[in-house]
Amino acid sequence: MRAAGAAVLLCGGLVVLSPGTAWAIDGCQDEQNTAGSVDGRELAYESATSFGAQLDQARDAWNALGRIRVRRDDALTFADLKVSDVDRGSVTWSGLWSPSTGTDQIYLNKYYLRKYNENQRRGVISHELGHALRLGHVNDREALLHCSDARTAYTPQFHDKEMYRSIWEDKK
Amino acid sequence: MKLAINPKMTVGIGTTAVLMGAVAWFTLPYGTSYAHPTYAVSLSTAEQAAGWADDIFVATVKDQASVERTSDDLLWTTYDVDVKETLKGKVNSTVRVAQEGGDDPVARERVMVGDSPSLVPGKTYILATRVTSDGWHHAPSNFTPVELSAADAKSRMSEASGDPTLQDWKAALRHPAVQTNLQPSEAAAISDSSALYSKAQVD
Repeated sequence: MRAAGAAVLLCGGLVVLSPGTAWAIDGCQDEQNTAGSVDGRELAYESATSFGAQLDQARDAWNALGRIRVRRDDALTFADLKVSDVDRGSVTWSGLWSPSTGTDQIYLNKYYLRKYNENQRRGVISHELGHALRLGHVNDREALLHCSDARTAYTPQFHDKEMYRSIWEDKK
Repeated sequence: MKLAINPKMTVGIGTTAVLMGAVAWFTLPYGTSYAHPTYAVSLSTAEQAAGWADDIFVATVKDQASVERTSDDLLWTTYDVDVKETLKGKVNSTVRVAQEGGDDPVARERVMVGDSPSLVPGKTYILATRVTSDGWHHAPSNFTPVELSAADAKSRMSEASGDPTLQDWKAALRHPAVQTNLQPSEAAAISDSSALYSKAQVD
């Protein structure tokens, strides 16, 4: 009886899952830390985005955690990160952090962001800055580092702060 | 003692050093970097893909065509694919399909975006794409191409056998999912998308 039940469940699962079995699972997985963009104790960024106000808010939210100083670059600084805009409806992401041998990049997709409210924009930018600070994705909708814009957080939450501290706590 | 500097020799040494450096750089093995997106739209089910895509089709990959950066600095790997069957949209014949990321020969970096595996020449897939003015059909980084085995591809040719994977997709096309952040594609936003499709065709 138990075996028959298991078989029914298994078959049911196959029926439900079959169209998507070859795909990535919906929702996020807990991932390893990223390589990040931090240089020493600082993350200097060049801003070429039209979402400057939300970038400033995102920077301030991370700076409030105190371990790494996130700041805009100046004439005497080599930027670790450049933040710029793209406008693409063929990609499904609203933001992308991309490491590089040179300056790392955050691309913000205006195609989605122009329809987002201020909080959602701030959430996307804060999320990508989180990657630049070495945080990986987490499977927690209440966390900023949730992999999709279905997240309910727009600033670092408990899970994000825990990760941040575990990465940067003992770094002198 | 006064050192005599021969300008021609200096230029020769400098040029040789630069050339050697360039040769050395282009023989370095590729490093791998992982880009991290935050997704506005999910493509985890056939219904979601049906709601998002301009075209859904069965295609066999012929060759990798290029690795290139678009003017917005994003990296793409493109493939020429033979369309075998169109389930949704107007795609047909041989077209160019692009995936995000790839091997950047200048930076000597393999850029991985999302979890979607790269297309493999010779294999047959179900693809969900949007056609773009870049001259290709784009399969996004959160859509995993559905590989059809050789047996699947063969049985697909027989109407009577009714390949179950294709049947699932055809059912999904009758019930496309609507998502909050879904917006019209480039093709849907213009009155005549034929120029986009022509540009993505391979001569």
